[in-house]
Amino acid sequence: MVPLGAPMKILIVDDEPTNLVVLTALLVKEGHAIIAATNGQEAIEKFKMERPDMVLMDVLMPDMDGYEATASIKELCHDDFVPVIFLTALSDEQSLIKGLDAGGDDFLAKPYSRATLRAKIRAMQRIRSLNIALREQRDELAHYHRKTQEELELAKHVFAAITRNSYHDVSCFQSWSEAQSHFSGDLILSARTPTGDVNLLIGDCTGHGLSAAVGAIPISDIFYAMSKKGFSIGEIIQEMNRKLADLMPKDMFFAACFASVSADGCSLSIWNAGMPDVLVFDRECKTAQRIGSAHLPLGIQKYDWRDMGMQIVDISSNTTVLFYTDGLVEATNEAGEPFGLARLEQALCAEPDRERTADAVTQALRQFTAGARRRDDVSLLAVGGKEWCATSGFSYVHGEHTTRMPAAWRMEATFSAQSLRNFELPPIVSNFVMDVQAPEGHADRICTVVTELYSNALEHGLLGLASAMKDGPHGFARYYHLRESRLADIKDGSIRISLVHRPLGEGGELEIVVADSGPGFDTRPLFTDLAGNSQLSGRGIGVVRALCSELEYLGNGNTVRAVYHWSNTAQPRY
Amino acid sequence: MGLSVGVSDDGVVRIVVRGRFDFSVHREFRQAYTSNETRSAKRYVIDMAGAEYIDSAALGMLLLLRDHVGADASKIRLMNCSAAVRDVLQVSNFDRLFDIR
Repeated sequence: MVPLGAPMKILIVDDEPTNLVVLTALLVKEGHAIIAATNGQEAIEKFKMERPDMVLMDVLMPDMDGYEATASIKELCHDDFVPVIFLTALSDEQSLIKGLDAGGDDFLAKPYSRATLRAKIRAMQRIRSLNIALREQRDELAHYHRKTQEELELAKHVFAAITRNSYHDVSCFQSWSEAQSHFSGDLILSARTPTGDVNLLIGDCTGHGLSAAVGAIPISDIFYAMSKKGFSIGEIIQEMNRKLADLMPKDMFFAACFASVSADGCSLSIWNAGMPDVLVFDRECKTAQRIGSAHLPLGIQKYDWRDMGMQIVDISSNTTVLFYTDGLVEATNEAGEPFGLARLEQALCAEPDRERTADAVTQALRQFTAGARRRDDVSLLAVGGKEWCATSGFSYVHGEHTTRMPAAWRMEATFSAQSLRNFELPPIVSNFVMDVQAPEGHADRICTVVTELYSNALEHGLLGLASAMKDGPHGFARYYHLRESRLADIKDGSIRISLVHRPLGEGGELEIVVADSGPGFDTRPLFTDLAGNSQLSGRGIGVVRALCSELEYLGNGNTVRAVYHWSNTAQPRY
Repeated sequence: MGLSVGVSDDGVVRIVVRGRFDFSVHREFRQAYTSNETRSAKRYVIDMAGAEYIDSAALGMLLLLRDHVGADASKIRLMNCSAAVRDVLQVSNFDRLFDIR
């Protein structure tokens, strides 16, 4: 900062020695340091050498005049402001204009008034201070801009790593995302569960760039880890909510839609917390159902049990479910009109081919917003039905468990029906087996067996639900709600689960027994017709039969015993 | 544009929002309830009559205010919300956290 009135280094250029003497005397008295030059060329040389703060330039000089010298000096300055005041007897307009055009900043007429000279110097000093301050701010800004760019690169890297881990090997959904600027802060994740369901998450974390990325890390970690271990969507939501509330500042939250496509591709469970209406479009009846946000976004406060219910939608016929972030419906055209829900529904209705859903919607959006500025990130997720889902077999995936020597162990636990309200037992049991024995590559199958046997025991044995209830339109939804309400009301009953593991060569034999305190059922019809048997929940007892070496019902049908063989070397039988 | 803040004799702080309720008023909004006069108000009334636009940054600001009053819904009142503003609050189910009129 150059304080006003501070001494400066001033270059005086005049071919008349007397003038130089007079001015020098004047300015030295003010405390300034003076450099003198008697012609234009000398002025330029001295300027280069001394770098003065200000120049007083005579106009009429032999060889190179003041205008030419000024133009050269100004060029040497670049973006530094060094004021040049012309010393001139000329007062005609043409000369003044020529001077200003050459780069001169002011004029001082001869004879020199000391007061005027001082005032003009002060004025030039003010402008110079302003110029210096501005350049410092510009440099600081450039520095922060660079830092911001680095942070954006980091956030971009994190987002790419997160989405890379998504389960892509499935054809039952299409996703599309477009960023407002560098990259999108919207999150679309997918993960396959051990029992073959596909969990989906589409969400919008408050903030952009790095702040969105910070939230995305725990969200994706929890989503992938818990999906892989077979935890229910409800449990994943609770854990994620807890983590975000704990980690993030109070003003940050995560609006999201969770969904889960059942393994058979027939039903979709939906949970909407803070996102725009999910559209369920049935192509046969051309009707669109809307599933609105029914919960607070994640990271704000604890959810109570009433918040944990899912909406179940039948997607076995020609139905498409569309999830999207608010950037889609709020995108505007040049006139400032938003795209809106009506136009979105229109675009859905207009496209007969459900595999083209995402394309149809994005095309309609592009046409509508053509030319207008993008206001926000836009993302959408379209989920189809049965035919869409490729029936993928079980994967032989190496988990994170270290291989353990097959050993003998057993575990037995009994749970009252009331305790079973509080958690899902299958992932706990399967993860127990993996932690204790770690039969590499068999996690999915073991989880499926445990889940099937447990679901049957709970739903048929204790809650008295019949599989036939799942048939018909909205059967799944009805069945699910009935399950929830009966479980909430149950007073008596219990389920006992026992695991006995025996080492066998390079692997082992795991005997699973699940017994419920219910009345049992007639098991004979079960074994006569297993083909396409969806008599019981999920993939059906037929799959358990195929996976296990032994399967039998004991007692009056309320106890089931299955034996699963595993080996480190031999390929699994299914 | 921006906010205006007033304190009534009975300890009610009234914050009037005009124009866009977004990140641009973040600092002002925070100052509106953290200054010496407004820090321990009996109730905070936010007049949204002039608020033509509200985004997630604004929702975040409201959550900070809520944290300031110890999550007591009765201490914060959102008044004169336009239909557009109500819609945004509705989708986020913020009516469970605030008294919205």
